Amino acid sequence: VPDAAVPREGSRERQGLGVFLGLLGEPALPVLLLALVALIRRGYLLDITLVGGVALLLVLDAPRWAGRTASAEPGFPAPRRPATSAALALLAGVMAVPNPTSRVTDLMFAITGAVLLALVWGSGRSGRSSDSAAPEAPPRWWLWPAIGVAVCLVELSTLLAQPAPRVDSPDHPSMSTLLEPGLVAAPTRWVALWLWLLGCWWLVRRVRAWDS
Amino acid sequence: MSTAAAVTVTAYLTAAVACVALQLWARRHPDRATTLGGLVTWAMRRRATQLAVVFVWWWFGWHLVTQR
Repeated sequence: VPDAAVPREGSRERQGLGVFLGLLGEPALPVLLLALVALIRRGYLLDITLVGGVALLLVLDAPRWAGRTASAEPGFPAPRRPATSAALALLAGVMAVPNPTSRVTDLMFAITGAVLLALVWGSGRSGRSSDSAAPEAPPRWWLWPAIGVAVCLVELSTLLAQPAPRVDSPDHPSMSTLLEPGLVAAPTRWVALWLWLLGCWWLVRRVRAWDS
Repeated sequence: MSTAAAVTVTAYLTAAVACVALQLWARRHPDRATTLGGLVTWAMRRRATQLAVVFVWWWFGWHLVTQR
């Protein structure tokens, strides 16, 4: 397993404006900034703070990390997979018990987010570099972003068509308008939370793998 | 359900079916297309993408479950 990270051209030396401009050349920050514009239009202060905060984190994080990784196949082992799945199912059960709109649920999501951030943020500590080549693009990778962009356009058109930006419209249903009723019942919420936690764990493993 | 709502729902369902079909096709023909996991893994070679993808996934769950 190639375990090295490749510094982008001069990334370690780049400071200030150079780091920011370098990030604009990658998809993550521009996408977050576009989302920020949409959220400002809707006026959700918490979402604006979260997305803006993560955009700021990306800028702060860029100089201390060596840049892109060299391998698209981390090969990080998944120890105790059944036990992890069972533990996450238990955690999902705990998270599904309170009313979804309660402060307790918010608190549990905040704790989960803090743990995720700690795990992901800590992974960039080594900042290693090597002369390895960048990973080759997988075949027809653009098919997935094409579907994603199409969904985003549909979502954007429904949000713009709503009579009031902050009120869901049955005539112009967004994705959350369609999915949220299915999550009102605790059993379906438990299954959804379990799948979501499994996704969290999968992503953390992917990120931590680059540092292993 | 209004016509506009039906069109929107159809669009989302079409996208969902396309995702499932593409995933199955990519698993069957890994030399012709990549799976969603393969794409995410490849995209995560960049540090900014790692942080952004994890945040978006967290936000997606929080937004849907808490209905905020």
